[in-house]
Amino acid sequence: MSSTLTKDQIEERVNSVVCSQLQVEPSEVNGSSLFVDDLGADSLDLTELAIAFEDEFDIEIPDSDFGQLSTVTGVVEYVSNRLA
Amino acid sequence: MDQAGYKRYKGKVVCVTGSSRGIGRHLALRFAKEGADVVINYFRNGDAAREVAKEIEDLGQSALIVRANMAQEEKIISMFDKIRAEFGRLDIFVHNAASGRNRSAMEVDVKGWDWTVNINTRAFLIGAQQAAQLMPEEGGAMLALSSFGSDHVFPYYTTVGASKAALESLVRYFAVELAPRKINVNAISAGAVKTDALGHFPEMDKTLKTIEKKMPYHRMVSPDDIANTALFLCSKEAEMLRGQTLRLDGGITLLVP
Repeated sequence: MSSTLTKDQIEERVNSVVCSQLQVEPSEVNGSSLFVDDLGADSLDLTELAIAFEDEFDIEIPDSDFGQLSTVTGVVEYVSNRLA
Repeated sequence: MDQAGYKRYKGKVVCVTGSSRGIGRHLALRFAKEGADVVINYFRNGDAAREVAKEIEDLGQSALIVRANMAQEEKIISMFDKIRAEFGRLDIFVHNAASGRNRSAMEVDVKGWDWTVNINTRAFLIGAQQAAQLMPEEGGAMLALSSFGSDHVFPYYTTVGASKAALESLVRYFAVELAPRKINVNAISAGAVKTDALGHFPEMDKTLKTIEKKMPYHRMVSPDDIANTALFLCSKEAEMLRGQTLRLDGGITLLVP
């Protein structure tokens, strides 16, 4: 259902999910913000973030791919590839 | 003590939550070896779940893989809908999936508490309610996997320990309420069992060595120990054991420190 999304649209949704899950303001988030080091996420936050991305984009993210999901840019790239 | 050839579960459908790895995987395979068709539930390890399903099919049994996060009510209910659609019944429900944010009591936060209790305790509440509806007139069994962190103190185990205590209590309530329907409900409480999950606990290596040294039987509990007990508790042979939490601990909790 999301295969026609542009990268900008994906980024907008990723930002929205990140702000909602990590309870941060949009102004605090940029493409290179590290979820753990910059936005204060811990391991449970990362798990819940992954669940939220899965629900948002209707994909399944295996544990082995978690390493690619450390920043907004990383998530946008990952989701773009998965939806391609 | 693998009772190969003893098909206590022929024709039965068994659901084991969290069965892509560790104890859950072992339980799923042992039930299949004794003739059961098995529902493999996983959340984060799809490849591992598919491997378990393949092993079960190689044993000549059916396997249904269902991805469901046990922290989400709607996903749990959806899992049972899929079981109904595939098998039309469920004979055994094993609540094995568990998670936890490991912190000292003073550092536990609400987010970690909710996550842990939802998976370790609430998922059994919802799962047992759903499973009972799928169990046939001749009855069935439910089994919850607890740990003796429910009434003993381990480092950083606060929330998991409390969630397991509540789980054991739920087991007693369901056991009484479902007994007239011939559904037996029990729990196994094990100490540290040698699986991959132990790597997630800070300082666990040190804790394990200390426990093993103290244990009267001087060895850790294995997944096979759990399976031997589980297959007994879910069988007709255990019908007069109801609402019990059986300790598998090599005798360690009998000792006075």
